[in-house]
Amino acid sequence: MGLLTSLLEWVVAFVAGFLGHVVAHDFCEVTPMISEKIIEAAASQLPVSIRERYLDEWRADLWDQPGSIAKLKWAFGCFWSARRLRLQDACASRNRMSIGFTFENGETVRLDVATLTWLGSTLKLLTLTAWLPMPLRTKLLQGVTSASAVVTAKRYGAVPDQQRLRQLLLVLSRSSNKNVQLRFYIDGIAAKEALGDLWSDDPMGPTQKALEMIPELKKGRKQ
Amino acid sequence: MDETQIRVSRPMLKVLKIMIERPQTPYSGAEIGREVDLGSGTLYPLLQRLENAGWLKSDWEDVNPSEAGRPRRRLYRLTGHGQTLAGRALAEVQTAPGVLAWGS
Repeated sequence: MGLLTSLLEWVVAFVAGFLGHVVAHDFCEVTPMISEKIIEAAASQLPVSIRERYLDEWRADLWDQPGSIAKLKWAFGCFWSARRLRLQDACASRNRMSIGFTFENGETVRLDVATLTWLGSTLKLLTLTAWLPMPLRTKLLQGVTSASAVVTAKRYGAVPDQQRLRQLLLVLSRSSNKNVQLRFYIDGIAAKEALGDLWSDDPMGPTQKALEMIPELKKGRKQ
Repeated sequence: MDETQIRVSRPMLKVLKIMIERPQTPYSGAEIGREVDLGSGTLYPLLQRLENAGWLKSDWEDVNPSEAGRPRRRLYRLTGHGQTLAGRALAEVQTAPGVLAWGS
């Protein structure tokens, strides 16, 4: 009886050891794959502009981690850091914001941050001169915006170039059209994702909205 | 506030310390993490802050992944400006009264 019990104990220990080995082996096999998936999920939380860069960087650094547990730990850390990176990037992107206007004909104009302050003051002017016929208003504003460009350049050290001036004038001249879509972007002109859209049938709607949004965008509150 | 001015935390000092010892040596995130014993959750946001502030710059490693048999790494190194600011930050910590020595 004693011998049988010992034998049973030995068999149970053997089976448990074998199963433990199999489980551990399988765990080591699947851990890199799980880590990779975690990193992909982490990177997907990031803004488009930095997503690919961090995905590649994290993959490379994950590859350098010794052992399955270390890989898993590193991957979970990346998941945590994605949240913080996203917040930090939003703050750093304050200088890379832009506003885009999409018109009825599908044409889009984007303005970068150096133009935003300039745009803000010009939009105020646009509101004040709303009663003027458009050709006259555009002509009037052309001179004013050129002057504003010089002021902005001096104040912010960024020279709004001719292209920007043309973009702004285009916005101003088209803003009276119906169905102007105002799009808010972060990450400047390279961004593909809009922060938000606003459609307006009111000719002055988008410009008024832009006036309200610019200070918020500049503070980096909108994400 | 100047964009290059950032709040220097203790983990950041650790990172700066190893990087200033060999300013021309590029480090990957994994290497930095190993050297200063920092997890990825703390490390990458810290590196991003330093990079955004212009203390660090990063580039992709110049290797062909298929030839190397591994993905190319993102390598960080101190900028000239970063060296000056890092040196200053480290000196401040070392001379500050009541600050315990950290690292070795």
